[in-house]
Amino acid sequence: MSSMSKKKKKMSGIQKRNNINFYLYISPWLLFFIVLTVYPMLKSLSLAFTDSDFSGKGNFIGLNNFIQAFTVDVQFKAAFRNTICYVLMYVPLSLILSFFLGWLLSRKVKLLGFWRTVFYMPYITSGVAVTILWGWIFNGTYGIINYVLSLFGITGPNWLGDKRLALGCIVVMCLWSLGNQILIMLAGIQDIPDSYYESAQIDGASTIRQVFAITLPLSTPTIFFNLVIGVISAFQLFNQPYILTNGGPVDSTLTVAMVIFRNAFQYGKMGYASCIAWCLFIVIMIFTGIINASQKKWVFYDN
Amino acid sequence: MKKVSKKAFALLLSSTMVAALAGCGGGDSAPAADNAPAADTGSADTQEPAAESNAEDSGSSEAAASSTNLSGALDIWAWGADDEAKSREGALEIFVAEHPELDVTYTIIPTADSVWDQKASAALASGSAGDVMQMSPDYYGMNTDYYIDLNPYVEADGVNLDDVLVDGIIDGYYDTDGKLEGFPLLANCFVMAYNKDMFEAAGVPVPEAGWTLSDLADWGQTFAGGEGANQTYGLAKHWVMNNMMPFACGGVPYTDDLSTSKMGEPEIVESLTLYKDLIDKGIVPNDTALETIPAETLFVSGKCAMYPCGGFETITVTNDADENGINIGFCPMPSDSNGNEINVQYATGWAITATSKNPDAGWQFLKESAYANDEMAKQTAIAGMPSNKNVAETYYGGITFKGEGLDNSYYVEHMGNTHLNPFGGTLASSGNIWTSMIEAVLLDNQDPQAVVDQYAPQIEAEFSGYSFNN
Repeated sequence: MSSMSKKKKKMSGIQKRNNINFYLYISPWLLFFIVLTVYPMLKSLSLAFTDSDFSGKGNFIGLNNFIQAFTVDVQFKAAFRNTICYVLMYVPLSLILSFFLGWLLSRKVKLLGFWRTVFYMPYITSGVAVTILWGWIFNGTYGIINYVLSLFGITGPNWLGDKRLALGCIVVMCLWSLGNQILIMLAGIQDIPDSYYESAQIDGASTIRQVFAITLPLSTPTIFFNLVIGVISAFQLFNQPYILTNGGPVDSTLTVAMVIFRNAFQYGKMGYASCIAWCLFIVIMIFTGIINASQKKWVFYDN
Repeated sequence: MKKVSKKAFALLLSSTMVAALAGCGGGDSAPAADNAPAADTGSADTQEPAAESNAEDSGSSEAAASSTNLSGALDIWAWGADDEAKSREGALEIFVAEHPELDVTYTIIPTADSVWDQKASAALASGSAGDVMQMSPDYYGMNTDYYIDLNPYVEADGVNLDDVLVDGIIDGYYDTDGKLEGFPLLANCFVMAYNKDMFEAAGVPVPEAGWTLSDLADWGQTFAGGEGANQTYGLAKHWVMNNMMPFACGGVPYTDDLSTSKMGEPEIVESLTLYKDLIDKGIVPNDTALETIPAETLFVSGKCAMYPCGGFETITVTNDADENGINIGFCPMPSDSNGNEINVQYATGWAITATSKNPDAGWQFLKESAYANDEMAKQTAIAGMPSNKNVAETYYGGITFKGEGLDNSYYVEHMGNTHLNPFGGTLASSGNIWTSMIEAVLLDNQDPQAVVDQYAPQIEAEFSGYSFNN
């Protein structure tokens, strides 16, 4: 008994100081996290079951908001469908492109620094300016795409005015700003030891074979990271459709984040907006969970 | 030493954080409306508490404070950017100079990117908004509990508003239950600007009062021609077109008391059919990327014969046309099949918050902004037609623009014929559905009747869900 308390006392001296230091050092972040993340999340969860307006005042209405969202609200259904479509188009394409460009930028080519800057530049350019620029590019009458097509005698479509094409245009637009994913991929690829490639070269493996047998498998942790981050951000798509099409034509680019924004800040339906936000959160969690569970089967860690 | 520094640094960071957060939470201590006597701020020491309920209880005579016994602080929140901000600031500075007895502070917040929406909404909800807030019956602020009823002040003043305000400019500020939510500052409606040279070259007579959009579907084709960047049109697709179209064939979007949607009526089907006809014939451009190619650019570059020109953009349009050598004139806006003018009003006004500690000073400001201070109204005239009848008729109406015979008189004479922007503010959710209906017909080639059958019930559901209908 006495030896135990002695041990406890002995441990507490170092550990106590460490604990205090630990909490002291993380306290700024922790405080912000609790006040600006945990509290708003809990508050919005409570609002999701009410008919609150912007003031946060409202009556408890049980699951009515959820029932309305899934049975009555046509815009919510359209937005969810569009968002899923966007995620399914954007995420795989972004992974393929970022891997390919990351691999290219890891090669010993001339003006490497220049190319790396060029590919990263769109990421740090103002999102609004880039979106408006793409609006001009896609313009049915004056856009450069249709101008180029007209040189070959082809009448281009009204890209952003056609509900079958508008979401695809937004995917293309977003793919242009892949700089950060490319950078992460590049770092991952550069982390692969040269000895693997040297061995492969001695064995006579071609460049393509090296990519698929060495680079790709050993980049899967980075791809996994980009996949998770890409899925989460893709589900929250807002700026591009908001600026360019405002959800149109005929709600074909309406996203869940836009429906949340409209209900919260245009219609003043805080309760309903919170309900949709939680639906989105749950869907993102499910997708992330599935991806996380699947990593055992396809992510290879070097060690 | 090193450890001490780290600890001290961490403590410093934590303390700063706590202080910052405490600062953020300062709004909690904002005084509530129901227990905030005006005297707390040193305001009107001879007056009764002046929040909404108090103004009603104490009788109208107390509410009718004259400027001579005002005092205390008055915080004013306005929106605006560029010329609008200058106009607002100019008027506010005049008020400040003329009321040294008041400690007036003001903030002008841009509306772009929903900055105003977010700041004003948060402030109103948390009770930390200004004493006086900018509002608009077609944009933001109607049918809420945030503002006091101004009827007692109007009654106490005993002024016949018809004598001092431009016709029709205050109508939109009354809720369906009669509460006067705000007081007008300015409003803008539209005049049809036309390209004189295009009309002469086409041999088409300039439209006269009573012309309809159905007429345009016939003679407007004369202007439709060319290809690509050289394509010409009869009428520019100004953003206001979508808000004009519910009225185009004699319909209305909803009943006057806002209780029932009328978007399922045959007139709406006719309007959508007509809109599509105008686009299909090339009279109105089928340009969905309105944000990249402004309709104004098409008009002032000589590619559109007509352009619905809002009072807020007359200077820009006339200057741009002049720079490009385009001779323009003004003609009446179109009418519906019943002969009623199709014109839409966008209004801006002020309201006094229920949390205001100095509503009497607020009323003085509202009154002077609306009709009782000609110099303030002249500043307001930079951004649109002031509600001040005298200034609107004698000063604003006489402002001329580059081009022959162009002035503001049409706006003054026709403001009384306008419909308030049908889908602003509280009704925005219905407006978004109406936009989807238009896109379904114009862009997706869906049958107008089928579109109305599909979407009108959604708008009806929205109407039944609005707070003022429950």
